[in-house]
Parts: sequence; structure tokens; C-alpha cells
Amino acid sequence: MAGVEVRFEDVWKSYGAVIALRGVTLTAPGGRITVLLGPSGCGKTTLLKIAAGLLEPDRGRVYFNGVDYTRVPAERRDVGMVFQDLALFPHMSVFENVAFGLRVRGVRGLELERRVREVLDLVGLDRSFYNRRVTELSGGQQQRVALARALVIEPKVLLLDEPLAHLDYKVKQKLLEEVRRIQRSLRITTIYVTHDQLEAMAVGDVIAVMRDGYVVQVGTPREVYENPRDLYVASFFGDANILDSRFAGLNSDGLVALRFEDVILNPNGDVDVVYEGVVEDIVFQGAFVSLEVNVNNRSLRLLVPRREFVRQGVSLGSRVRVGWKLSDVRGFNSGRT
Amino acid sequence: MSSKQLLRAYTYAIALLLYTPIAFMVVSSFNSSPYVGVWEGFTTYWYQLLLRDSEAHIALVNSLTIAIVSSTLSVSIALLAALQVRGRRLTAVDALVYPPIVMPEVAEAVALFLAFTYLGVEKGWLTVMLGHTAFNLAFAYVTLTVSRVRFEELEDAARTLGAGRLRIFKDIILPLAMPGIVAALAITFLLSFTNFIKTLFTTGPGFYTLPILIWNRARRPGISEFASQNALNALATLVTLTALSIAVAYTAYMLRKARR
Repeated sequence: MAGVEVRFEDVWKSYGAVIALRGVTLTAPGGRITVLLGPSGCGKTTLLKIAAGLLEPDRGRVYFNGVDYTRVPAERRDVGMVFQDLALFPHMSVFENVAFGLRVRGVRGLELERRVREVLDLVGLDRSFYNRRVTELSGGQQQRVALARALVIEPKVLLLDEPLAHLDYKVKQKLLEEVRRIQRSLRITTIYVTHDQLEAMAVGDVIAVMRDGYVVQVGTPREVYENPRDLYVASFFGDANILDSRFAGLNSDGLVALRFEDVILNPNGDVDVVYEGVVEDIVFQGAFVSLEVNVNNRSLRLLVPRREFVRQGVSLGSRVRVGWKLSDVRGFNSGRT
Repeated sequence: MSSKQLLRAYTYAIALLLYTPIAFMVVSSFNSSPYVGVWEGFTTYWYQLLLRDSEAHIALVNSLTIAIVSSTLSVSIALLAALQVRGRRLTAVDALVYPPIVMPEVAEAVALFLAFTYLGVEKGWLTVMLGHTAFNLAFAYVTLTVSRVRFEELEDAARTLGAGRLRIFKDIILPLAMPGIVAALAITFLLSFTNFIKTLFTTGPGFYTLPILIWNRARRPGISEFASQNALNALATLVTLTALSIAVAYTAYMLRKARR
């Protein structure tokens, strides 16, 4: 299965006076994971529901492999969706939740059992879970049931709406890995909605950054990270210092972005700009240490590898030098900010 | 006395207050004297008398059919309403539905009486049933919506899995709404079965329910042996027993639900 390409063309949607989508055009390539990334209220869930057929756009079209699906109702789209609150059927067992989509399609008996078993194996739930009520399961287990229920119907497209939002860090990491593993093994086109940039980077083949009902930028995680289109993307996808252009070393006006990790602590040559400053804050983050350095009453954040931090013996109040290469400074052509 | 003992004593006092009149009624129904307060020995005579009491039989059938039809009708309508307005928190429908609950019953009874008279409807089974239903509707709606399960996302989930409207109603909404439906049926049945005032105002000549029959006889105890005090106590005991057994069955159903 090559995977169905999903294309949105100039999609608009409003709820009363609130405009949720303002002409979104976007292609989710077949067999890949496309992440819709943005803060709450940016329209990403609305776009997902339009892909599912649960909402109709006011204007614009949705194509599955070039076929117009705009008016095809959800129940005839063959999409698998995992909802933010999971929406498991609370009165059914794990097995029955997963079996529901198959029963609706008239699958019965051994065939039904085999397919439910296969998909529950895939998400890592063994027989001991089959008769459990979904309300008795942990968050991570419920998540697996929701994923299994969406996958069992062998959907054309898998839609995930903040599927891991309520899970704690370790469980989230584990499930992110599994979502990737499962998606790769099934080669199913996936649209994944999240507001969490780390999740987006972890699962996304393609990232679409959204804001106020627009798609602001589309690209691979690396493209978007290294070449953010504007200050908004630069600070939403990854962290960046937003600096005065002249302070950053450019010979122009305006604002620019400088990634935390591109600021070098006590550089030995190999930089184009150097300032002196005082360390005002130190946040230990494990592999990295985040420092805040005051340079002429401007705050600069930098991210230093832990070993480097230890080697340099920096502490609060230390006088340090900070510097960067001009090629790491991201300027923008007067784009929206 | 510790506060725990105090609480216990208080609880017993309440129970005593609640159940003494009922216990008195039940005991009196086995008194061989026709009069309350004069104990002349144990008898089941009044119950045997009830077996021959054709008026009581008619009243029982009337009460039961009214209660069954009215509760079924009001819960069905309320369920449709509840399904339509769900999602939004408090709606115009809610505002329309609550007043009958707080309105004095006699005012509503008079309103029904005037409406039926104005419309020139012949009063009897139909008017009583409609009167009960108008009132039960409010209780059914409130009971069904009080534990309003959020169905929207479950419906959306079922739709993406390929289920049509009927399937969603049968497999998702109905099973989840069932405890509410059972509660609403039980409450409206009991409200209807035990109702007196509205029945009195909406009934016509020759149509009576058990509460109406009891009232008519209690007003004129000398009219026949069927109307004697302890014959009435036997009848009232049976009515109470019916209501209680429905309440007990309902509680048992809810307990079983909760345990699963």
C-alpha cells in the first residue's frame, strides 16, 4: 500500500463569528506522517476534523488521492481517528471497542477475532486485556486501545488529535516510538495534530506550522528548524533569542532570531560577533544546561552541553564572553511576525 | 452522648416519624374491627373483601394504564429532546422544562382543567393521561439530562468507524443512556401512579384511579363496607406496597449497574 495522499485546497471554516481556518492549502503525502503544529485555537483540530469528514468546510476542497472527498460523510471515508479524549466506548470491553468498526462492516466470527487479535498484538495488548473494561485501564493502555480501534478497519488515513497529550513523559516517549514503528510498518498516511514541538519533531516526516487559521510554513523538521520562515515559527518551533538586527551583527534594521544552541560560550575565534556579559540564571536540563547571560541589559539564552558547562566552571555571576557566527543569525524579509 | 450516637438517635427518630403512619396503616388493615383505633383481633378479611371489590379493580387497571402510558410517553419525548439539545450547557429547552417542577401542583391542575374545558375535550382516561404526561415530561427531562454523558465525541468516533445513525443510537447512545431512562421511567411511573390533585382536576364522571377511589371513600366511610376505615387501609397498603416494590427494584437495578 503506497498510502493515500490527502490534499486540502483553500479550506475555510468558521464557527459563528470565529474564523478557524483561513484558506488552508496543504498536501499530506501518502504513507508519511504530517504533523499539524500550533498553539490551541490555531485551527489544527478543525482541519483534522475536516479530513475526517466530521466537519464540512465552508469553502474549499479535500482530496484523497485526487478524488474529491469534500462531501463524503465520515462514516464512508475509511479514516481511523484517535480523539484527544480518546472517546473509547465506556460500556464496552477492550475487545468490543476494537471490534466495533469491524462489526459495522459485517465482519464476524473467526475473521473478526483474528483481525482484532492482530491489531491488539500490534499495539502491544495481550489476551489478558480483551475482557477488561476500558475504564479500568491506565492512560497509556487506553491510548493503545484507541489506536487499535482506529487501525483495525485498515483505514486509508490515520488521524491523530493530540493523542498523547494527557500522558506522562516516559509513557509518551514509549508511545511516540510505537506510533512511528506502527506507521512505518503499515505505511499509512497519518496526520498528527499537536501543540508540542518535541512530539512534532519526534514523529513528523512533514511539519505544517499553523497559526490563526493559516499554515505558516511546511517542511521537514530540519528544514523548518534551520530555516524558519518568520519570527513566529522560529520561536514556536524550537527556541530562539529574538534580537535587534544590529545587535546581532547585521547591517540592517528589524528583528532576527538566534537559536539558543548557536550562541557559543567563551568562544575561541571562529565566531563573527562577541559580547561580554554576566551569567544571571542557570537551569540544569540534563544533557544540556541553559544559561541566561546579561549583555548590556539584554538577555541572551544559550544552551550548552553539560560536559562543556562543567569544563568551563561557570557559575552565577561569572563574567563570560558569548559569540556567534553571522551565518547562524536568521533574518526575515519583513514577513508577518 | 457522642456525636455518633446522637446522629444514630436522630436517624432513628426520622425513620420513626416517616414510617409510623405507614406502619399504623398496615397494622390496621389486619384489624377485624372496621374502625381504626379499636383492636378486635387479627384478620385478612379486608384483603379478601378487596378480591370482590370490582371498583378497586377498575381503579387499579386505570391507575396502571395511565402510569405506564404516561411514563413511556413522557420519557420517549424527553429522550428525543435531551438528544437534540445536548452539547450546549443550558438551553431554552431547559428553561421551558423546569417551571412545571416548581409550580404549585394545584395551579397546574387548574390550568389543565381550564384548558381541557376550553377545548371541550370529554374528561376521562385521555385527559388524565395527558395531564400526567405534561407534568412527567419535566421530571423525565431533568432525570435524563442530569448525568448528561458527552455523546458527541463518542458519536464522532463511531462515525469514523463507519457507523450510521441507527447503529450509533442502538449501540452507543441507548446503552449509555439506559440508567437514566430506567430512572426516568421509575420516577414518572411513581409520580403518575400516586398522583391525586392533577387527576382530580382532569378526570370526568365515572373515571377514577386508586388515589381518587380512596379519597371518595374516605370522605364517606358509611357508604358501604368497602369504604370502611380498615378496608381503605388494606387498599392503601397495597398501593404503597406497589410503589415501594418499584422503588426497590429500581435501587437493585442501579446497585447492579454500579457494581459492574
